[in-house]
Amino acid sequence: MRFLVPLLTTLLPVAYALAVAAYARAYAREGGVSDRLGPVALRVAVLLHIFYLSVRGVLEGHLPLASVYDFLSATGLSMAIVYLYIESREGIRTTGVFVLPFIFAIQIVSSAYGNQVTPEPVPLRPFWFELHTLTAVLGYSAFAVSAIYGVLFLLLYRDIKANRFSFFFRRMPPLEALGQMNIRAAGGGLALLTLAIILGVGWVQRSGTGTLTDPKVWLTLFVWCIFAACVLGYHRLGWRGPRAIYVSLAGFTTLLLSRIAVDLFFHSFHSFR
Amino acid sequence: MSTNLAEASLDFLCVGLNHETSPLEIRDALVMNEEEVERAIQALRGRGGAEEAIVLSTCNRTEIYARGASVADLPLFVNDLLREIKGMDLGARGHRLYAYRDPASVRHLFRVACGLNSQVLGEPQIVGQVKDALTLAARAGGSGPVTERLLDAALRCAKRARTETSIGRGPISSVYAAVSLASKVLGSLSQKRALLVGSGEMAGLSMCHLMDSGVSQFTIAARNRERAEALARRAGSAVVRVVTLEALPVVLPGADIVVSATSAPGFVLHEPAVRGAMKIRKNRPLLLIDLAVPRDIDPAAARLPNVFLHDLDALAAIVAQSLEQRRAEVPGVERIVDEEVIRFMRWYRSLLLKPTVTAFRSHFERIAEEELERHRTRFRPEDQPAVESLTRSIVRKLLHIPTTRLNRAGEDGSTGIRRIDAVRDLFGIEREEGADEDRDPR
Repeated sequence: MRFLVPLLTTLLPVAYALAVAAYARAYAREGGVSDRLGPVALRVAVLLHIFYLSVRGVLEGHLPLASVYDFLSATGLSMAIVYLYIESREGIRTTGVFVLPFIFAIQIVSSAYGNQVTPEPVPLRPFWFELHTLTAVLGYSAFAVSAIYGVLFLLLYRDIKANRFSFFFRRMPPLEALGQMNIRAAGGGLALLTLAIILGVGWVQRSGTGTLTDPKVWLTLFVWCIFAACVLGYHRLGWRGPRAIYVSLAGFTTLLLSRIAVDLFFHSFHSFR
Repeated sequence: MSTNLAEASLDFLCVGLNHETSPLEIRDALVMNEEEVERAIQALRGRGGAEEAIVLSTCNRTEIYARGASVADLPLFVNDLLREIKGMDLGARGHRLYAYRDPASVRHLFRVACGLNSQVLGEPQIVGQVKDALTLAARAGGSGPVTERLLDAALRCAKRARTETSIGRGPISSVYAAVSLASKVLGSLSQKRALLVGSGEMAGLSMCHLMDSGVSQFTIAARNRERAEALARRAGSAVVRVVTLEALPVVLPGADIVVSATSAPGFVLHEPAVRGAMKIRKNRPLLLIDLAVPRDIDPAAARLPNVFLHDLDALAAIVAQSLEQRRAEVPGVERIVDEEVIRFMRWYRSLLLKPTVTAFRSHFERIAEEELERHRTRFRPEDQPAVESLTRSIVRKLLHIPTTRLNRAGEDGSTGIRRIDAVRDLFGIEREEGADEDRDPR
């Protein structure tokens, strides 16, 4: 089964590239009937990705999340799953062309630099820890998708306000739908991050490994607070339009910067090296 | 015309005029009501000798389609007919009717149905008008197997053009552009509330388009209460409230879409009023459409967050863009028209009697041969000639009466065409010949 790993590592970026091409074609061909190809290509890529991670999991005996490249690959898959969920829920396919290139880029980096099964044995990790990692990755991916929708919202908002009715204007879903997609993805990410935090705190207390004063922990809590404010503002305070979007984008930017800072400048007990 | 279609000529003619050949006053004067259409069809069938006839009369065109007319000069006949029915002599006024024959007339009808021949490129109303023309022709006894098939094909062609290209996409009027913008900003309009400022024609048109898009709650703020109430009565099942213009700041916070079209000399809606409304509505998006000249809404309101203000210039830009986009789709639609013309002509040629009879007989003979071959080993060699003879004899006897009746189809006019068509359809002759592989599955 080991021979499958390099093969799938090479195939995955190709599969995502095909999905990107299919979505780009559907986006460009206004009124065409070929817009079903993209979702099919993406589903195939996602199944291939799940198969790849399963093979890695079986070979390594744990979730393949040992390196930063593994983390990237899992993030790419999670983003694809989150995107597919939102696409099927909203019935909007024209935004795929803006989400998928990120997934493709993430996967190509992961395939290029992290194409080996972890050579050294990893200490046995409990189920709760694996679940903590999985929910955190899914949550971050949902925030990433939310951020892409946020940027699309702001671009469309600006175009409509300025009476610029470009091709982008024609191909985008309604502004309100983009806002909802942004907030739904952020809400989903918040729920998953909450679960990840609970599982992480539980694991730290039971195993005695690490500390809750770790910079990654409190930076994550800070990110959680920003997204909680965003979701609360939308649902309870009636935040609509750019304000809610800016808050969600601030949350995602903080998340990105905090991850970079933790990995580069702080000494954290669970940073990827 | 005999249905013994010795040649594949349709003997089909289209004579008419449209916005390209005649000014509005002529087109207006020639619009026929239902009774006049029926009279025209009966005249074409009676004096004109046409086997089938259809009249398509709209505000932009009056066209007559006839199959098998016996008159030598159909355009002249149509000219006389229009003089008789509408009292207008086109010849005397120097306006020439256009005429198309056979495939050119089929192509013309398909182009008309696709909106390629419309004043507003790709406009959708023509599809309904073509359907109405067929219904009227059926009522007046003008339709027949060929015209029914032809109009069906025209409607299919129009449907393909709309689904396979963008010929029907994008708004083509300012009011429709305003409604499209509302959908672009607010998504589904079914739960949204609209405020119409003014009660004139533009306000009425906006109400119609908004209702078509799902808006069911309206407030009309107008100076002329009587006219506003008359407009409210046109709203059908929608909930409509009428208020005075002075109540505008009070009703503004409750609206998601504001369409203003008054003839007031200055602004009717000022920025502070919009700002106040946005506070009350907790900054929920508000779409302001200003259809008035001079403008009704203070442009400063556009600077407020979540306020989308669009005036006639902006809407005109959307309309121009849509039309440009539609023009770019014309080659694609022409390709669909070409395909559908070929398909229709192929169907028509399939009605030729002789090949149908030959194909009909071959169909049964081939089945007999195949069955004989399949069961050959079950009979002794010495019995085989007798079995073959018996089988062929049964087939011959079974085919005798249908073949005789089919041969008579050539003398039975429209009934004959239907019979030939039915035989080909029942026994799948087209598929066997491979001549009409893309035939309508019905």
